[in-house]
Amino acid sequence: MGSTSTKIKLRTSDQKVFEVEEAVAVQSQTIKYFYENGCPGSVIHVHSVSGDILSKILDYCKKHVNSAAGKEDISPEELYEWDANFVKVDQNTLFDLILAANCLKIESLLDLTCQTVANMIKGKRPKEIRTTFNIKNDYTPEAEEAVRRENKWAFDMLGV
Amino acid sequence: MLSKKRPRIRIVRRSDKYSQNAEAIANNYDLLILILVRLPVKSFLQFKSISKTWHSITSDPEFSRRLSLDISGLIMCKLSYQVNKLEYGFIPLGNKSPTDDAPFKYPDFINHPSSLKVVQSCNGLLLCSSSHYYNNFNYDYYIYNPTTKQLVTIPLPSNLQNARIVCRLSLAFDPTKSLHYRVVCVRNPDPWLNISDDPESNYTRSWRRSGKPFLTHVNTGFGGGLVYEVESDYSGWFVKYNINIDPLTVAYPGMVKTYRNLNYCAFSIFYIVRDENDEESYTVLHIPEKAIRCSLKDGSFKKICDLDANEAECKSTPALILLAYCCVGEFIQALSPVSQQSQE
Repeated sequence: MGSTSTKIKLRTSDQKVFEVEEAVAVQSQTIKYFYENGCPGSVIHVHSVSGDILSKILDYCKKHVNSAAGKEDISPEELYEWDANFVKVDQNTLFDLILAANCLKIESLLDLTCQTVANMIKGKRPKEIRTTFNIKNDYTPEAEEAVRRENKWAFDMLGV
Repeated sequence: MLSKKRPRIRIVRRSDKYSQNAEAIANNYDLLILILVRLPVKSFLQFKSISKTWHSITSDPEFSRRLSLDISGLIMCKLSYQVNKLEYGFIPLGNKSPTDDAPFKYPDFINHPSSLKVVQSCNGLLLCSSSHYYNNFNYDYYIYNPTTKQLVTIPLPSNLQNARIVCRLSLAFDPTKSLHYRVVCVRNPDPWLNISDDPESNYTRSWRRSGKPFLTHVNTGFGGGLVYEVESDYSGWFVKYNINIDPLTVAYPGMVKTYRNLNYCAFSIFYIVRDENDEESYTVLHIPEKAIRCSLKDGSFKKICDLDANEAECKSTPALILLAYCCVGEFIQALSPVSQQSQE
C-alpha cells in the first residue's frame, strides 16, 4: 500500500487504537462524519465497538474498497463467497457485528448481517426465537392462541 | 468461553454479554424491522405470536410496504382441453427462500360450479375468474392472495349483469404506492373503472366510468426471439432485447422439430425479470420439457427445472405440441389484504 495515503486513528471501547487508511475508514458514514467535521489528526473514539469486532469490520471494509477500486482482482461471485464466509461466525459475534454496523452506519455490512440473521431464524419456532433474543412472552395463553389462530395457515406450514 | 452443549437441558441463564446484545437488537425496532423484512412471509407471520411488540411491528401497514416484492417463481397453467380441471405448475426463481413451493396446484380457492382459472398476477395478488361463462353469460371474478389465502369476489358493474359485453377485467396493484388495488373492466363500448378495497378507511367497491370510449387493437410484446417494448410516448414499439436462440438449439436439440418438411423451434418466452440497470435481467423460456433461464445481457443460459411433456393435442396444432404450459404470471409473497378485515 502507498505510504502517502492518509491514515485515520480510531480508538475502540477497550482502548485499542487502529490506524486505518482513509478510504477504508470512511466506508463508515459515522466515521466519515467525525473525520470531516473534527480536528485533523485527532483520534476518533468508537465507544460502542470492541477491538475484536472493529478489526473484523475493517477487514470487511478493506476487502470491499480494494475490490471496488480494482486493487484486488476478485469477481463479484468471489466477493459474494467471501462475504458468505465472513458472516460464518458464532451468534454472539454476529449480533456484535450488526450493532457495530448499525452504529458505524455501514449499509452493505448491515444488509449482509441482517440477511444472515434472517436466514438463521427463519423456520424456527416462536419459542426458540424468544430464547435467541431473550424476549419475554407478554401474551396471556388465550391471547397467544388467538394470534396463532389468526395466522393459522402459517403455522400449518410449520407443522406446529 | 465455550460452554458445552448438553442436549435436553434448557439453559435458562446465559452470559450477560450474550443476552445484552441479543436484547439490544430485539429492542431496536429499526434493526428488528431490517431483519424481519428479509424473512419469508410465512416465518414472520408465525413470529407474531412471540410478543405483543413483535405483533404490532409486523402488523403495521408501513411494514408490509417495506417487504420486498421478490419474485418467488412463475405460475403457469398446463395446456389442456379439460377446462373443468385446470392444473397449475410452478417454476421456482426466488433467492430469498429457494425452497419455495408452488402456491397451489388446482385453483380450488372457492367452491365454484365451473372451476376457477387464474387470469392475471399483479404484485402478489391474483385475478381469477370462472373458467367459462357461468352467470348470465358472464364470468365470475375474484381477487385472491395466494400467500394469505384470502379471497374476495369482484362484483361486475350492475348494469352489465345481463349483458355479454365485458371484454376483460384487469388488475392494477402496486403496494409500494398504495394499499388499494384497482380493477379495470373493459367492455363494449365503454371502459369502466373500479376503485376497490381500502383496508384503512371506508372502502369503496363501486364502479365508475373512467373515460371516453376508445378503439383498441391487439398488440403483443413477444415475437420470435425478440422482445418489444412500447416507446415512452406510446407512439409505437421497438426491439428491446434480441435473444439469440441458436446456442440453445445446440444445447437442447429437442427444440428443433420438423413439420411437413418445415423446421421450426419450439419455445415460448415466459417471463422477463428486469434488473434496475439491466445488468442481471433475464428471461425465462419454456422449451420442450424444460424451463431455461437466459441472461439478457450475455445470452448465457442454464436449466431451471424439468417440466412435464405435453401428452395431449399431438395431432392438431403443431406449434403447441411440445410445450406443456403457458405462463400466467409471477408469484410474489405479499400480505396485501384483498378485502376489509371484519371489524371487531
